[in-house]
Amino acid sequence: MEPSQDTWINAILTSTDGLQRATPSPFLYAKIWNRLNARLVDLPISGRTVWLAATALIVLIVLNWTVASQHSAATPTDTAGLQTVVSDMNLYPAPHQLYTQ
Amino acid sequence: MHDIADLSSLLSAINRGEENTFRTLYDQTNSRVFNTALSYVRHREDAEEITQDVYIEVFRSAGTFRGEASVTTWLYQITVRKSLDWLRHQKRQKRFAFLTSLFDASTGAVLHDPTDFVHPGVVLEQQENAAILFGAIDKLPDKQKTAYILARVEGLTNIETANVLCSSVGAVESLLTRATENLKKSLAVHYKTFKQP
Repeated sequence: MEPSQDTWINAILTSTDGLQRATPSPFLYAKIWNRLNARLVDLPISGRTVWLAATALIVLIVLNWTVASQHSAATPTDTAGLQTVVSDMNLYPAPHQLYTQ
Repeated sequence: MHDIADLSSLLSAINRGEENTFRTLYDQTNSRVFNTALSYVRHREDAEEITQDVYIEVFRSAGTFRGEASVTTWLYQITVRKSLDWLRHQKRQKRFAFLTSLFDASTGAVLHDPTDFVHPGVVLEQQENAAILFGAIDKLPDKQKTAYILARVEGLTNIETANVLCSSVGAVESLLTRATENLKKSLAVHYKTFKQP
């Protein structure tokens, strides 16, 4: 490293020696207190509540899916039973039947 | 650092919602929080935003303070975490630079990027040098940056810095050595580029 470069780098590294602490805006505390009051009014939703709601939704979807799949599996049996009743009781609708009678 | 017992008693009062006590804590510590944030983000308004976030967290979680570390250490930990989060958020924004008009079209750099940041606490004759130093600090890895800011800019002892970083004094010394080496390398490049055209 050249002497002048070394000197320059050392000058840069020591440039914050004796640094005075800056102060934020005098209105900053009022902003913080206003934000705190605004947050106190809003009811915070905890992460636990969110997880509970998500779990309940998943359980609801699974239950619905289970019931729906059971119902669709039972449908062919019911259709066969209905066909038997229709043919035994001769319940076929007549062609061009007038519904006003 | 401040007298620990006093500040700890302030926190228990803050937990009970006493505004006057919160104001006292703020008055005693705000310059530390603000200056630390300012060293990270190099932008006054952003540092004030971080300071707000820090004190809101302090108010809301005063009851969780267990007194294992001093209150000022706890404040520095929150400030460092919030400042690093802020910087990461800025980096994420840069990745989507092409979607917004907040960034320079040719370079992708944030238009309000504080390249000529002047720390308000630096004496006038050192302001140019300090601006170069803060630019170089910004390029350091997070841990080195934190150790350097706390020990060299904020003026904490190595023990206090180690407490904030939850690490050993030896680890802090190692971080400071590596940070200084990296700063020297970065400044040497800067010297060759700008001082010897």
